[in-house]
Amino acid sequence: MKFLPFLLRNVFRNRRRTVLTVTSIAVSLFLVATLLTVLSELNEPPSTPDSALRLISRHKVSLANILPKAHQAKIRSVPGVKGVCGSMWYGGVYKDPSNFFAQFALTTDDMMEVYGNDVVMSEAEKQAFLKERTACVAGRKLAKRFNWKLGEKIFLKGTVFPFNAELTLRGIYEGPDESSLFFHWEYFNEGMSKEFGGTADFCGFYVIKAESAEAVPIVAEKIDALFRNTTAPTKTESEKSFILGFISMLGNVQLLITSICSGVIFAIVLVAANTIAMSIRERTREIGILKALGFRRSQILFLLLSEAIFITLGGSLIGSWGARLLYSSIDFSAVTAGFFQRFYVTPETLTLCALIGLGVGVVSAGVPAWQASRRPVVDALRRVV
Amino acid sequence: MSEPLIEISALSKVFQRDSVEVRALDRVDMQVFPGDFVCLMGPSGSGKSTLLNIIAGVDRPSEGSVIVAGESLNEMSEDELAAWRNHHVGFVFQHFNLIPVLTAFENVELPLLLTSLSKKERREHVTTAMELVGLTDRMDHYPRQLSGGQEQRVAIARAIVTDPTCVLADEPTGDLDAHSAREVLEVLKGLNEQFKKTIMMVTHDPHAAAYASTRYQLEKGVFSKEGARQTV
Repeated sequence: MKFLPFLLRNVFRNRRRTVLTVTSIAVSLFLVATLLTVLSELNEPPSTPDSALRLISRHKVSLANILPKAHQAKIRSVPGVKGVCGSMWYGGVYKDPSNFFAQFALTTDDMMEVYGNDVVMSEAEKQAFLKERTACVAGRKLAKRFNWKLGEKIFLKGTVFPFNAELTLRGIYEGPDESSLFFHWEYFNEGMSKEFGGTADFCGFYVIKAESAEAVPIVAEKIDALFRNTTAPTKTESEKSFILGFISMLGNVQLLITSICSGVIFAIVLVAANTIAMSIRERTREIGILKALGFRRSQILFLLLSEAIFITLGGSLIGSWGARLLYSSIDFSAVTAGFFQRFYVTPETLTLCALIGLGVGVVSAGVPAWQASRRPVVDALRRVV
Repeated sequence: MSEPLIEISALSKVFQRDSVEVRALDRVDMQVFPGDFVCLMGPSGSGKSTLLNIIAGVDRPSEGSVIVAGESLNEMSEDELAAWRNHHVGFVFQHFNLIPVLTAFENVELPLLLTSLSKKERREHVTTAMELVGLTDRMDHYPRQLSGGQEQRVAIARAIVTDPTCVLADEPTGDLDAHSAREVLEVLKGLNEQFKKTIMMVTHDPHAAAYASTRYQLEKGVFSKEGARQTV
């Protein structure tokens, strides 16, 4: 501790250089913290007790293939299943394509059972939604985004399907995902039937609620076995696996983000190494003086490494904690149209950023500090920079 | 006569400059006794600074032995030498060599950071050293705020703050005007006379040499016959 004032004086001997170096590291680590948070949010979608019991059953071939509505009753008969919702991704446009948000046509008989506490609204709103064919419910954040009030007429122009939905907002729900809109599958099916001139009767996937967490894998296996030799075989998995699989369609995001992070870290190592090497080289004579006064090699090495770590760790803490503070004040669900329900820089990410800062300090200062500590005193004293 | 404080026997130092071998010191013998004020004189390249550096333990001899305060420097490791320097040697450089980001007080305190003294004890030691060089009113000044003479006096305070066995000064007046040089030499003389500090000084300046009690003249790495040891 008695070396701390000396260490701080050296750190701030060239204030502009130190501030610029700390800033460059802070900006880089802000970026790294952001990318790591993207990765962690993609890999760890928000989980609730209800979502842990939910499964998604889709066509075995791909999500683009549809499943017959008749599957719903068969799935409900599988032991361990508490409720089933047929669901269809609608993909309509509200006023302008830039107003993107998720819209699902849902069978409503088991909806409240399946979503439980993940879709919470008043009993009056629930009943108003259930009894009206063209009713819809929207998440609180979505309603806030478009300033919707109960009774609002919402017109969605079909893009995936040749059918426009004219809906009335009857409920505003709260839950982990408040950026989606749900309306009646029956209304969707009716619209599609008109277009196809018969009954459409299909769903994109089924959302299933299992009776218990232990039942989830068993239910998945039984459902897939049930439809194995049919024209519409299924692939059933937990909701979390389904979301991760959906995200994997974006490509190898993990590799991409890891590559960018590695590049950023490598760049800051170069920046820090250059700055620190310059700072040490400028002080070769002073290091010689310290040694002449009796400082040992290890003490010189300790002082120089500590200076570097102070700068790099300081930069990384500013960057990562800055990201945490900034993102905690932003409604990411609104900003990303529900793609991210939250954007939380986790303690693990903060720790990793701190370790990166520490590592950058050691790596960038290691060689010049080692060389300076081992330079003969006479050589160092003669050195004119 | 007391035991010598510094005893040098057959000391040689050879530098390799590319393919050329330069013999800076050639089998030099020397004895310095406690309380001596020794002056090493000689032309540039005669080996006087090299000799001082070897006695200070910042350079190693090629041959011969150096015993200071009863300890052989030849046998010490780098870390042992560093600890030994902190305890036994106070070094005064020609260019003052104060740390620019530290105040005069902090510069003088620097060698004490390596000791186990408490903060209060360090402050007392620094204040005493600054009193001895007459700069208690400049303790919070940075080197850039001091004159050359004041900087060198701070450097002397730094050299004596650990109460070393000997003070080694390499051309301490080389960068100073006559007035400041005289002030610095008076401080060194005072340390020698009042506190019986052993002082070894390298200088070109005959006026500075006049302050010493013993003078050695070095030429091409050996003591010249007429200047081998002159006691004034």
